[in-house]
Amino acid sequence: MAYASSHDDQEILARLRAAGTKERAFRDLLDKYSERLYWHIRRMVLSHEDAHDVLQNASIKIWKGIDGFREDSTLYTWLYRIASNEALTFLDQQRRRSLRTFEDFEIRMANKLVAEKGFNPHQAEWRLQHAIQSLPDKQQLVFQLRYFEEMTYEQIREVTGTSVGALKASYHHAVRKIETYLKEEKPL
Amino acid sequence: MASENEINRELKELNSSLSGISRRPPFERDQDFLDKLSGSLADSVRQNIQTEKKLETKRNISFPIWARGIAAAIMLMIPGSILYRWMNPETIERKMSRELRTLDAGSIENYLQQNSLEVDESGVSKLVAETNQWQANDEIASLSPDEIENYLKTYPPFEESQN
Repeated sequence: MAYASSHDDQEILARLRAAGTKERAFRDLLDKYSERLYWHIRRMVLSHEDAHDVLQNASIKIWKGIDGFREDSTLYTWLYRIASNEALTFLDQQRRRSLRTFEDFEIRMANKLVAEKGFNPHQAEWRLQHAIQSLPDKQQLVFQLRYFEEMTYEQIREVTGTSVGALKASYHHAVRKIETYLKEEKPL
Repeated sequence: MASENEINRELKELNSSLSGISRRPPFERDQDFLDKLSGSLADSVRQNIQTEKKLETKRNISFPIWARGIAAAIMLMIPGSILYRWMNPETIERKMSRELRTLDAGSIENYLQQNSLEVDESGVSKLVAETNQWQANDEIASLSPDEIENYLKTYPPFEESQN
């Protein structure tokens, strides 16, 4: 996957910081990243409606936080950090709601996946999605960023704030679990 | 503990086991939605920020400091005066005595009955006597020394008139 050229991001960032060009630059930023952020969130929360809501909240936080962005990380990983945190918060809220209603969160998420249009339990891509859902949230996030977004561990470190060593171990466990899951060919 | 090289080699092997699987998300792609995504997001962010600003402006409508001071004083005075009037026993006593002084014996009796106050006859007559005494005191207090002298001549004290 091609990464955003940092030159473009620097230019967008400069325009975002100038009052006169802020709104236009924000649109350009969303033009560039919204679809990728949408798919990143969608893979975590599964349903389109939830992904759209989470992305909206993330966009508002990006707009509000851009003035305070200190460039400790790249703009690209900063955006992913906000999107990931929003998705994790959303999942956490859903999990707590499930606890209150005595509903099994994992079953609920699996049902969401099965209810997706075009779902095919025999197709490898869907089986992989199901396997990813069985991972703990943080492991899931690391796997998504490494496998789908093809981020380097250093970039994932910027997104998650976890050390590279811990990330490697996390990714290793995630892949092992997914591999076992796919080999077992459990019925979905 | 495994070295970094070992971990990397292991990861490569593990990655290759997933290599046959497409990285494109299997979810249905609504191209129309995706085409409009950034525009609709920018619009909703702008609307959200505008709504927040309006709410903040409403919250921050400011009055001059002296107006706030007056408002605060009034707000404190109203409950304060009510509390003072109704909670201060001395005031209640004074109010009661003022009301009682304007009543005759029959009215006092009615008042006691209406308010279900149980006072026996001697109690009522005591109240009436006290009320009359207050009335007399008030009357005397409003007179000049000459008038008091005339008053005493016209209405001599009970013991004197007995004599």
